[in-house]
Amino acid sequence: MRASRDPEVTSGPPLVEMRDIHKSFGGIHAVEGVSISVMAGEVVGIVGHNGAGKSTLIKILSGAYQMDDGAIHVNGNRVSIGNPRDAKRHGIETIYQDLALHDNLDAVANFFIGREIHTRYGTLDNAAMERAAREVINRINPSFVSLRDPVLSLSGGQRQSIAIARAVYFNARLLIMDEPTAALGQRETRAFKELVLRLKSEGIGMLVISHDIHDVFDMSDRITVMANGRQVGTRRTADVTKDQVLGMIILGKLPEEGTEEDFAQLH
Amino acid sequence: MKNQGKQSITRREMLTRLTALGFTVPAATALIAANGRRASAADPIRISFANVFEKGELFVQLGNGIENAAKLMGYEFRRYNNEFDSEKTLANARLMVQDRPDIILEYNGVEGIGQALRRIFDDAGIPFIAINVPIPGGHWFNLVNKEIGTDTANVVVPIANANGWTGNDTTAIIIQASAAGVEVNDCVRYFYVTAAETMEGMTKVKPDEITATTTTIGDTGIQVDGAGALEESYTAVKNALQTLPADRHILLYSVNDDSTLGGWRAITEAGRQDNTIVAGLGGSVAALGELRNNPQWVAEGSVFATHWGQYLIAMATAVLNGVEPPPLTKCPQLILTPDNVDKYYDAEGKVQLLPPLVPENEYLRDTGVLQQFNNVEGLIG
Amino acid sequence: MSSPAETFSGPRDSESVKSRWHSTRAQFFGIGAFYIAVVVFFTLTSDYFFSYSNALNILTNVTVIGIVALGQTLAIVSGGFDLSVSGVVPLGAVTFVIFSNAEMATPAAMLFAMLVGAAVGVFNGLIVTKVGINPLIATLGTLSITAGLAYALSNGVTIPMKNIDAGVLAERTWGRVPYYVVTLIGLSLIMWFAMRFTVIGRRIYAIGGNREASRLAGLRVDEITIAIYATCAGLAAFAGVVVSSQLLAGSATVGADAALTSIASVILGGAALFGGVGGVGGTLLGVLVLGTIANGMALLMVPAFYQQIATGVILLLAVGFGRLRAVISG
Ligand SMILES: Nc1ncnc2c1ncn2[C@@H]1O[C@H](COP(=O)(O)OP(=O)(O)OP(=O)(O)O)[C@@H](O)[C@H]1O
Ligand SMILES: [Mg+2]
Repeated sequence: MRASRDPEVTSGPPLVEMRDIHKSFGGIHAVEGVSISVMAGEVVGIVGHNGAGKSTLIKILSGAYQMDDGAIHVNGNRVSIGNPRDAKRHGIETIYQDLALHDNLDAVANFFIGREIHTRYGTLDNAAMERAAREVINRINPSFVSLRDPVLSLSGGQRQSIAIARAVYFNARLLIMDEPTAALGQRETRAFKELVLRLKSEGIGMLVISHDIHDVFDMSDRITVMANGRQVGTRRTADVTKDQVLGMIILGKLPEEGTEEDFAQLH
Repeated sequence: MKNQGKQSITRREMLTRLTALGFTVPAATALIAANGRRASAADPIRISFANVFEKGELFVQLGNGIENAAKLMGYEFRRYNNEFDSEKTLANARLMVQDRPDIILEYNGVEGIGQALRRIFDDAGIPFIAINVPIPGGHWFNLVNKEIGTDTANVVVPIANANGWTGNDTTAIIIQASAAGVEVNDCVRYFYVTAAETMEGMTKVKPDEITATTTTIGDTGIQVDGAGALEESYTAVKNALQTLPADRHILLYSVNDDSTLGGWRAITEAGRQDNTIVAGLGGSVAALGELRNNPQWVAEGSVFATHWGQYLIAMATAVLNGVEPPPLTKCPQLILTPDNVDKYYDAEGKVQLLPPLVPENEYLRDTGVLQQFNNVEGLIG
Repeated sequence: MSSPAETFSGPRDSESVKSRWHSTRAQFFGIGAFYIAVVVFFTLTSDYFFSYSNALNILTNVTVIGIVALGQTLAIVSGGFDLSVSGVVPLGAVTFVIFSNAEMATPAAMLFAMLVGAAVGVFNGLIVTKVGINPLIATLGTLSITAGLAYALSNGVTIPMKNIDAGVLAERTWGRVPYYVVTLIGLSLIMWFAMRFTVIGRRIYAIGGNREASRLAGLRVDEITIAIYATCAGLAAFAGVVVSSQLLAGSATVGADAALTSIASVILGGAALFGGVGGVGGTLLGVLVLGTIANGMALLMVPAFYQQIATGVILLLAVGFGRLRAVISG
């Protein structure tokens, strides 16, 4: 019900829709009744304090966690996502907050893990994988060279580049990005934003979690604010100011619900 | 036989302890063929027995042998399990004396607690017989590894001498089980010492010059450690063979049948079987098969462990009759040869006859217990 | 795992980290050099060491543990351990001889023994993945169960092989090299190839490197883990078949050292205790180092007590030295 109240950019069934999602860990209610939708070619930002439940929410969509209650629809059809393979089958790719890299493997191996290019005898086609990985990674991070070293030895930015590149490469329809720019330098962040624009123009939907309010405003069409596992609200980026969104994060109230005093406290 | 009183024992430890008895391989499953007359008594004798451990075929058979012999004699019998554990052993000892039996048979696996056991039994004024591991102040029943080793050498060496072998072209390979302690390894030590005395040209040594860390004895002796087990003995002998010229004669002997079988396998693999004479200890089915079919396997020591029960009950009866046994009452033990093996063991490896009593054990005859079983040479009637 | 919040663009302490990784390769070559030193030492000190016949002797001595160590490599590289091999080796040995003595054809008896082993491995894998018990504890439990089973099946006695032809692996030779040594070499080549060049090999390293990331990447982590434990135990059971072929008898006492020696060999060969790093080449080198030292000391007539002590010291030195290098160069 809540989702229908939220403004949407275009009409037609959303690319992905999560309805009334609940998830707790033991006694902790990490996500309580959150609904969110992403249209094709749309970027939705998710913001909120540490521990607000952002990662938990998107991990349900990427198949890392099983929700306790709620429903997920892809292109209007209800689907069940029981594991990460299911999500990938629905075209949902994820850049995890911790990047989910294998430190002992090199960039190419990390890039293709689970989807290795192989010969018909089941042996690895390392040359083909390296070619593909190099092209995509260099587009995101031109200074990236050490494709053949274990990623343990790489910088945070380089590691993030690998995680981004591999999510992008496999023809995702929806990209989930949990803090994608946290470890990137200015130049890489700029390249990343360009990448987002290009993917958008290709009709790919994106869910972006970020602590950087400026980045969120730069990239998102809509912004969902979460606090203490609940959804404070979702607004079209064009309809709100950064201050209003900050207010939602801090106060856990919609701008119209907050009193003058509340907002006065912010300054 | 040593134990630090640990709560649980590993497989390897158990093996070591089995070895410590001088026989890892149970001889046969035969229990006593009870065809004797049933003894009747108005006031039955009461015997309590604490077994060292109730796992492992050997110990169970030993315990069953004692139990069956006691029942055959019409004695009241109670059985406890020491679980190879010192505290359990002491607790059992206290339970047993509470019951006030006439005599206690104690098979204690933890040598260090002998004094504590003695105090419990002495305080209660109950006589006791220690099985295998001595307890100070008590009567003692055990095998004598030293004699087995000596007797085996006395069978093996004359055959080698008859072949014209001497210390110049012969090496004795003995497989010890160092972790099992000195007494157990007496068999291989005395085997070598006796062989050196009776074969020309062998390096002579005193028994205590062969210790757990001895590896070579002049040019005529090699001691390896087989841990009482098949695989370890196989590997150890394999390595030792590298140091011996291919045409050298070998006398092979070990602490138990598994070790001898492993060593023998290494010898046949190296194609040296025709230059080797071998002897086993334990009377296991596999070793008896070798003794019967393998011309190089000339002797097999047996201690008839499954039949200790009837001797122990005889001993207990003697003690209750006021007889003072010798410091050590020897179990039946015999060196089997291809000529006499069929007399004592049937084709399945079951004991059909026990060797005659040695003079020191004549006092057992007087109890009349052994006669009930009708299976001891010289006491069949 | 470092979270991006703590890391920033640009090289972090990448030099030391890089050298930590390279240290495993350095350790491989270090152990290789160490092996050469061992060979030289024993050649100089023993008249019997450096000969074709003793080389063959060493090879035959290490085959059983080599086969076990191949499986252990899989378990350790994937981030686990398999202690149960010490029970599965005797279980495989005893079942092989029992079935062979029951007139089962030799290949069928071998296959059956390996299937029994693989079944134990599947059980290991299930309790590690589905029940979530730590591999050390889980396989310690099955070690006890399988060792006990081997004792129960054999009644604790050595069972001679009735049909000597069943010992084909040891009885037949290629030149003077017994079939089982050839088998070890064949198995090693297959596993080396699989781990280096195939998709499944890559995934085993991935799982050992980061189990959760592997799951998120869509790998069937549980299934692969179960398959690894099944392979490891199947190989251990096959090692039991080889021991029985060597001894022409089955005994529950064989293989008691298999778990410790195989793990020591794998680690000596440069594998990481926590998974993700290691390989067949290093493992075989580790097996050879331990086997050669044991053989050399036996030839030098070192008493068994001291052999045991020396082996432990050498193991610590070799592994410690590799780690020390890493610390110094880092
Ligand atoms: N696997 C888990 N087990 C138990 N509790 C968890 C687990 N994952 C998350 N939580 C808890 O759920 C709540 C929400 O966590 P989540 O990681 O979703 O927050 P977040 O919004 O992503 O925070 P951050 O901005 O710090 O990344 C927190 O209280 C967290 O401690
Ligand atoms: Mg998060």
